[in-house]
Amino acid sequence: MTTARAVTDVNATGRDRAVAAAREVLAQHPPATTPQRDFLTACFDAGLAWVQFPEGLGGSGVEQGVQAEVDALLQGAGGPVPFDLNPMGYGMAGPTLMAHASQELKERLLRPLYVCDEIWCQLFSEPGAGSDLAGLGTRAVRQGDEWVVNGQKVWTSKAHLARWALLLARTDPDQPKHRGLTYFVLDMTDPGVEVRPLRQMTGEAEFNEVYLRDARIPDSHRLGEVGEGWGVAMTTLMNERNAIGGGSSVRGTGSIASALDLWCEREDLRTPALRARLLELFVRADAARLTGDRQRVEQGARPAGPEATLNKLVGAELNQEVYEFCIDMLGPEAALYSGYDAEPGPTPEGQDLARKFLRSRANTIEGGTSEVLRNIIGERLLGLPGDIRVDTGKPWKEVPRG
Amino acid sequence: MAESATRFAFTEEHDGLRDLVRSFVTRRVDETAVRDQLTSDRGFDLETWQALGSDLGVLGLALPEAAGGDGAGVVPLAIVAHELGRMPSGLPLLGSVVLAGTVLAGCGRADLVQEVVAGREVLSLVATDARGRWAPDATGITASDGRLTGRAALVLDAVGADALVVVADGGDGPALFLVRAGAAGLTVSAQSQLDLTRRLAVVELRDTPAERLEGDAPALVAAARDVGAVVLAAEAVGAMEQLLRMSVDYAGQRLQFGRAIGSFQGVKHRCADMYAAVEQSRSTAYHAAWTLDDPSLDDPRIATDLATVETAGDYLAVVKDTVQVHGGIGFTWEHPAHLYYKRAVSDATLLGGRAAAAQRLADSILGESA
Repeated sequence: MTTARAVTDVNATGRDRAVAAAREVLAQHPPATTPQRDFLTACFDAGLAWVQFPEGLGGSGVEQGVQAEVDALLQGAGGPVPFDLNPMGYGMAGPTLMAHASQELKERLLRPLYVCDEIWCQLFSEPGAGSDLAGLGTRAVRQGDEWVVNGQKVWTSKAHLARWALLLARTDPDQPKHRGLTYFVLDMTDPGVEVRPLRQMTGEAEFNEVYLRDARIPDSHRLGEVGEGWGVAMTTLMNERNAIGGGSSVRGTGSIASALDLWCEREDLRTPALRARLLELFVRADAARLTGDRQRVEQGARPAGPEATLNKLVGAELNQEVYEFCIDMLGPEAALYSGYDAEPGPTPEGQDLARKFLRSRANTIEGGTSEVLRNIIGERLLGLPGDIRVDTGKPWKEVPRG
Repeated sequence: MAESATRFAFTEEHDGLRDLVRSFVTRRVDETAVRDQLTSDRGFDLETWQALGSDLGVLGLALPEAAGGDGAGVVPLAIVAHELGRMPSGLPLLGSVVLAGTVLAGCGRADLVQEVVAGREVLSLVATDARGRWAPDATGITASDGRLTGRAALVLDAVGADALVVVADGGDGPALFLVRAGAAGLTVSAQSQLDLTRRLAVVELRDTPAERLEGDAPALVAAARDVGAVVLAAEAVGAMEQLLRMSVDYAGQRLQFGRAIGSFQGVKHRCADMYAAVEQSRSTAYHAAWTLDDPSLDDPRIATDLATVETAGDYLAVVKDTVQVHGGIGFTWEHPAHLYYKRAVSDATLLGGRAAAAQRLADSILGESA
């Protein structure tokens, strides 16, 4: 056995080895009978967490495109979906740490992140800095080997559960906005951190406000150089859009599944006009799915780039239209809602569509508004000239805010 | 057979083929060359066509080796169509090579396929009815004692063709016949068209002598149609790429209110939407091509119909956006936008068109309609 494998390994490509490793994990740790943490630990040790990472840090050093194939195997066999368990951790913190953290931090943080011992959140947006993220005002001031942080962050999902946060803060207000930012990993258990739930349109509080009052961060938890936080944040944001827009490679999954299920289950509500509309949505969903597949192949080992913004843009608008279709198909039944309690109980059958319908309004705002994404596509991918700006070159503190 | 490779992973051979055809198209099938042919009888330059077939040797890629092709698969053919699509022309790739060629290959007529892929002979498949509807099951043409009678409209690439492959009913369902140009009782008349680039014709047969071809007509025509749908989809991707580039260049240069119009979000966002459309189309077109080469990837029926519905819709959207971004200049005869626009409208009706593809797709995904 050992000899045969050694021979195979010499000739096998990285892809073959990763696929073989995934099969081995499934054979040794059947998802149905293995505790989630043990399964994730086995995946991490087998280099299947982020296949493009180096060995020992959850990867196998193979191109990123192989991840889709590995995930299809692991998740197809009933394995957990790391992105769902720890979205900011798996989707954003992992790639950001890999690109910018010290070896010591990578070794300390990546494994507990992947096995979900430690949940992550992202402290970027502020009440005064939404689309114009680089205009944020949370201040970090250096005191010896520490940084002292003051400010308010908003739209932070998982903050109440998180052990760590990705934090973008202003370290030099005299510089133009992009140049005065620095990027940190913040310990959410610091006494200077207060998390408050933020109630949203659906009634729930999926997000939080985070107040930072003299929160302290050791300088060893800084990612990248002082004043170069914007570049680090770009790694995170590109992976955020990748994660939101990456999508499944299985036909009929994702938001379109809600519409297809409804169509299938409610023959009494079908009309020819709805049929034509649903077909159009299906085609768009499947084209977007195939585009995700294609980009994963084309991207290979390259880091996530602005191409990911396309999938986020298309996916967000599609989600909204899919749920609008469901509401239209439901007709008068759409007038019901299962309740606006901040912590809703189980949703009666059919009524979770109304919740998803309301929730999808945020899709074209969160993770980059559709307007900003179209600007990015226009300017960064197509090379169109930028809009005329009034803040270029001005020190951050002189730019009007409100 | 085409080797089974990772879907969407283009090889060095693919890249080389793309470069070869792109360079040829840039030199030989530019706007001037296409405009020169707008009012010609055939609608294309025979020397250019023969150069593609004989010098470049890129016309037989998807046809089996045993039947006179190269057996390289549909993906390389899609690459050729993609590049040729950048400037819509009358070159008879769809009618002669893909439709007639695929059917002839299935009938074991390597002798004719070799002539077709070399560009020495142009053939056309007659599978529409008297009103021009794609009707391979019932063209309305009848066969009796080796002679054909009937009428078909909107026949692609029939003008100037050296021979026609005709679907006709000999009393026991659709069968295939070969009719040579100049045969008694045959007339082929060009129709006055919306699209100025491809030639469509009325074919009339009156007791016209024909040679019976050995082959399963419905199966062969259906296979040819699927490859044809992928070619149309890939051509649309090439056209859209060109239109997007044209629009972005113009929006970056055209000044109004003292600034490039592309700096206005109204124009920039339209261009971003065009980009999104091209990318979705590219995915569905090449997915369909890969699926025809390796049917384990997807249901070929769904993959081709998906490509047709997506690309036909995107092509129309992108060309309309192109006219809009260009403003007044985009509405002139001198600007090429209208050549693409008319082609997109016309393409969306060929081979059963977008409507039939959407209907089949709805039936398979959503169940038969009540």
